[in-house]
Amino acid sequence: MQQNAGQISVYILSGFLGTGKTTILERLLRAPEFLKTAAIINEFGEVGLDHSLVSHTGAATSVIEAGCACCQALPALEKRLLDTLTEVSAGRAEIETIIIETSGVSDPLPILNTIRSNFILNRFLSVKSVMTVVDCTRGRALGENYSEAARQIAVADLAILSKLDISSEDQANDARAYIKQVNPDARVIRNDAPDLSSQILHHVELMPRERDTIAWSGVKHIEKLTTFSLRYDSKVDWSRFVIWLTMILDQYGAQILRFKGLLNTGDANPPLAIHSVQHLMFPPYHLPSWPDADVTSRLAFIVDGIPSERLRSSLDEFMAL
Amino acid sequence: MCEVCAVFGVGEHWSDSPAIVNAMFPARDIQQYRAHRAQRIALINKVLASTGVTCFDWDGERYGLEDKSYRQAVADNLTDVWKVARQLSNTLPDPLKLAKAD
Repeated sequence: MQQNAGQISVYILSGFLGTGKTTILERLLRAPEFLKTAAIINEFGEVGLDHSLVSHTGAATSVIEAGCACCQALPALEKRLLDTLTEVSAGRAEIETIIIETSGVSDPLPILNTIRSNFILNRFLSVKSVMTVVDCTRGRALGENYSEAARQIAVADLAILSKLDISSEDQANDARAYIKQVNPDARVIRNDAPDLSSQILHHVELMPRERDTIAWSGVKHIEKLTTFSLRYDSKVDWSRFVIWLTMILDQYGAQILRFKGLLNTGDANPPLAIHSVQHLMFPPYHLPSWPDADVTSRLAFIVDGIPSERLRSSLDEFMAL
Repeated sequence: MCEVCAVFGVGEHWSDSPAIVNAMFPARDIQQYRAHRAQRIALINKVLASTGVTCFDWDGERYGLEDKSYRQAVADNLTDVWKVARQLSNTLPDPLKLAKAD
């Protein structure tokens, strides 16, 4: 995700209840890379506890209680972010980074949407990464039993394995395999890495790779998650493509959990990177060059209940309009 | 369009053509963007043909939409075109079944 001068970097830290988000947050706040950081913690319970766990780090820490930030507490989160910007602009605080720790059952999308839909937040904040913490001891079990856990993995671009000290190698491998099953483009890192904060700071979102169609079911509240990629050999006409994409997101946005693409829009143009989280589209941007000799357009989807062949034929129809 | 100087804009939505051009001054290529926009509106009208709603350029940046009863509404950007068209016609073609709708 691109960042303009003067913008504050925002990292969203999600993860299901009890996966170790606050432990990671505390560690990040102590790292030299995150010295000028404000932390905003959202807790699902009525009385915030995590706040006190990290308060001794010295970072500007605030807590939003009484509700989950993806539903009830959004206005509070919006106000807290605006207040933080006010403090920075008035010279009362020196903040380069904001980390938002979501409640364990939060969907990160409404938080992203809050930032994008508020003119001031959108101008002065730049979401650098959506991270999710995956507990190795119960990674697959959580994802298969709680739709919130699966969605958190599906929309993340960085997954952090936790509880490695109390899990077996097999459990860690299974958690990693589950993450790749749900979201093949997510980068997976370990929370016991000595350079964890540096890895997060310098994380560059992975561009979509070719993937086999994988479908799995059994996740509560989710009909059928599928991940697949489409290739488009011809030059992509931007107007036709955006008409198709906006219409698809308008009607099926809730079912498209994650979408990324590298587009070839013309002979002389560098590849155009695009991505969305559900119906929320991020501004497209050009990469300096193609990652390899392959210059065909490619799109990668994580969808809930949309057959890949339907999307493929739909794209073909729009490109032939 | 700028209400003060009456200069047409080039579009600032992520879907507008200037958004994908590596140019410091995208307005220099305004003729090209206007051509893209005309092409885009023609395509939107093909998609909306079955609804009776037609799309037209409003001010170089926004989209005007009109139903058979000549009711008009303005969509700020391409994302909103579909919402406004649905309000006017109460229905929209399913993009996954476009061929079958023709």
